[in-house]
Amino acid sequence: MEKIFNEAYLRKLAADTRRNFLKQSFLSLGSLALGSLISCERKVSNSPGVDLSNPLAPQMPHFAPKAKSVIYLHMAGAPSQLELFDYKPELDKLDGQDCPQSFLEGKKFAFIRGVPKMLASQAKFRQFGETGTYLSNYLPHLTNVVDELSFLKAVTTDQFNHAPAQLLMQTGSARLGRPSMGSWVTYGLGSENNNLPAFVVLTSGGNNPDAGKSIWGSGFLPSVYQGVQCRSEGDPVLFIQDPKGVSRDLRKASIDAINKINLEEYKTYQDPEILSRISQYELAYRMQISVPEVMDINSEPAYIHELYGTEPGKTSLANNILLARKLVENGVRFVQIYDWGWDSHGTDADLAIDIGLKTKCKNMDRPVTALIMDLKQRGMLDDVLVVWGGEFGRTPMAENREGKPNAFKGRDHHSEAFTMFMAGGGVAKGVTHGETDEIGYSSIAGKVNAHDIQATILHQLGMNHENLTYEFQGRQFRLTDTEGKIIKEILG
Amino acid sequence: MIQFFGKFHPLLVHLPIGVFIFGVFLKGYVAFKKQEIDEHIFKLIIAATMISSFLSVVTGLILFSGGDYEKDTVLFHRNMGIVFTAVSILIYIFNQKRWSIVIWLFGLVVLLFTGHLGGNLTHGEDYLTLELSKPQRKPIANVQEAKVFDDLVRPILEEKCWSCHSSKKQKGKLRLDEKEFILKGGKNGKCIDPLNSLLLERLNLPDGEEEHMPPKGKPQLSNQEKQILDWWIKNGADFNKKAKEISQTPADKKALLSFQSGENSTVSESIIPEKKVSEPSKTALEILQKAGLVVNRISPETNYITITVFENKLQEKEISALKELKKNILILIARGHKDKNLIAEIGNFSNLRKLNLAESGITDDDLNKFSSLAELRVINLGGTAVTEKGLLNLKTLGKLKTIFVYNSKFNKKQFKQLKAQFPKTRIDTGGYQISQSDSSKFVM
Repeated sequence: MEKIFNEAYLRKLAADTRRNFLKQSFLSLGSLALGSLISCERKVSNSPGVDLSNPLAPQMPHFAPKAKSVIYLHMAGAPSQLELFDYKPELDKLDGQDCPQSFLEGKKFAFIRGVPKMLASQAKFRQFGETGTYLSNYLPHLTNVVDELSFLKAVTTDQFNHAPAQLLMQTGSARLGRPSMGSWVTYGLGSENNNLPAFVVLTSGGNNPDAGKSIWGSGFLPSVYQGVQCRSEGDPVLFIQDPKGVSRDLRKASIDAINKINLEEYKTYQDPEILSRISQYELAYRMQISVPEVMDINSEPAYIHELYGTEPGKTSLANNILLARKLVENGVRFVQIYDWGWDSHGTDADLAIDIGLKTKCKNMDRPVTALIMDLKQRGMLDDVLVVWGGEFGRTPMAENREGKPNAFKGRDHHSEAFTMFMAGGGVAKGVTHGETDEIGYSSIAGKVNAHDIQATILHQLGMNHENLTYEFQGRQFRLTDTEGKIIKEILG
Repeated sequence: MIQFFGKFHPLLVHLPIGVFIFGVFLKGYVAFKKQEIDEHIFKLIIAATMISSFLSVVTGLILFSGGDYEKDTVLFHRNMGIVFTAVSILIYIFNQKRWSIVIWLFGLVVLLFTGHLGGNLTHGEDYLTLELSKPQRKPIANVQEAKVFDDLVRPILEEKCWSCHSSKKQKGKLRLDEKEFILKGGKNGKCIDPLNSLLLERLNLPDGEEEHMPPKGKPQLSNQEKQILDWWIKNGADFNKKAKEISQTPADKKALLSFQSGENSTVSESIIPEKKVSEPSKTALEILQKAGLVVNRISPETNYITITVFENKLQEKEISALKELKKNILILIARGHKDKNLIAEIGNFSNLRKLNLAESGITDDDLNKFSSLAELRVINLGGTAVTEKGLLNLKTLGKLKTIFVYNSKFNKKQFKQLKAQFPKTRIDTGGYQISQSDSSKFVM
């Protein structure tokens, strides 16, 4: 029997000529090519469709939103929760003692080596407001609005270096290349103001955050969704002024001419990207008029400057926070503020938790309080979600770089517990969610992570984080990747 | 191992029900139409009923031996199941008799009753009538005078726990319907020990955990309800005290207030009204969008819309488009809009809930026409020329919750008199000041 099959097989091989091979190839290779032609056809991303002639057109949310816009205050460098919010009397008792081995085994720290000493909180705490929330004497003004805030005391992350942790917080991935939260939000909801960018970034503290400008980049989303960095000194946006010797009318005429040529181009090639280019030119021209006006905090009355503690003309967190209020008032969707310099290692006085951190808090405490009060009195706090936080926490142990105690009091990076707060935008008032252990080392209840916070922010804006997707490299991407749970406990 | 087969009971019980009811139909059809049907078909149907009901009884007995069920109901259910199996045997024997239709109907009654009892066991006795008689919580006028267990804790347990932990069913050998059972706890130990309460532990587990209570798919406790149980148990789980007799943190007080009926109730209402409106006119929407207004439906599920108007003046065309959409407009934002054409129109937007006219050109006279806005919840008049006199026009709006008048011509000295006219409305005059907390009062 086997013989017969073998023979039949050999006969068949003998009959397979080169002509035969080519004939077969024609069909199979051809169909391969056809397959790739079909699959290469441009797929329209399902939610929400991008109208390239007006990519920032306002979009309907997935469900009725609570908040219309977001002011996200990121304290780059990671503020110490143990000096600001997380009151741990037990830790104070252990001050100066060797850290127990159980906290060190199997753990990795950025700088701590060997056995560090425990470090008591350098701040004093007291309960405030009707909610009896603990706040430290580093934040003497925030006490005024403590009942408006909703605290997350057990935020965790899986990154203990600044750049990846900031990327995780702001883009949902610790590695480069993903769109930032503000980009996702403007992609999902568009802009309500035709004359201003939808996503504005303001930085202070002397440096950009460690992760660089990519944390407000648009990743694989169309570049119109990236954050527009505005400066508080000189022109708010680079090249916003007309060049010397070019009048506004001439400028308008030249933009019109460029757009006319572009339109011709579009008629010939029908490439929708050209329409996008035209709309960008027009937005840029309109911004020339509206941006300098909105960005000018000098026009604010003196009592507002006093409330925020602003000094016009300087680059400061206070100025940026006041500016943020003006921007959301004018329909900007997402204002991302970065304040650099919260990395209290204790390597020098500026980075000491009992010296430099106090100064940082002083510069942050008043304007943040003022922002919440000001939004409230303007009837905007219900529509604007304010988020405050860093990229990770700080250790209950003193940092001992290379095994030796640091020159000043400081704490190392810590991924297992830190505090963030939210206010307004439909978030419950005066709620504290999450708990850390007796010394503030790890989260023991109500743990949340960056994806949960992102899911919650999108939810307040009326978007389901699982449905806000963009197709790239053959799959649907989303801000929260495969994770993210809405923190229902803090919703109003 | 044998317990494993018990798990098939809920599946198997559906077979005799389906097969037998089909048989009843066929029997009725034959009797009614006076037609003959091959007796083999009936034999087949009844045999299938007999075998599947027998298997149901056996698996049911195995399941019952595992415990967890209240005896009386189960015994009744079991006996009825056995009776049904017996009846199906009778039918098998006597089907060709003329009076056999009577045992068929008797079997049907027994079957339906057995099924109903079984349903009660799995879904809870009130499952069938849940929508008709949802446990009505007694309104509490003053929560501090309320009895903690009887008025607060018990209704929570009744609504969220009793379907599995009461006289009908005792999952984990736990009953939460009477004091003595609550004190006794379940098979895993005491449930309300103030220092180590299993009840609180299970309630506070993350949603995804297997041991989380109430289990997936059942109605969950609200944050306030959890807070109340936490407060009650950690303060000794007393069965007789009134709320005011137990110490309360501010968070407890807040949770307690949410159980009080009336104005203080913190239950937030949805922004989208229950009342439906017809679809907004497409042409009207387009006219407004072309004019640079931001117009969108609130969400895909509703026909209500939100409109943002900027400073530019509206033309006749846009105003008539707004007229066409007057019933659809739920939110109107016209911040800084100085033109009177639009403001004169607002009084007709009868479903309007949120109105932002901050820094707009509105005056006291315009507020005259706002008394028709019966649905209005929030109005922002900050930075306008409006005074306390104009605001009086709004006092008839019973649902109005907040008025913002920061930086308007409102005279703060008149605040008390005006507030007396608005018992349920918060009037925010703004002008907040920051005070610095007294550093000497901090403790280490």
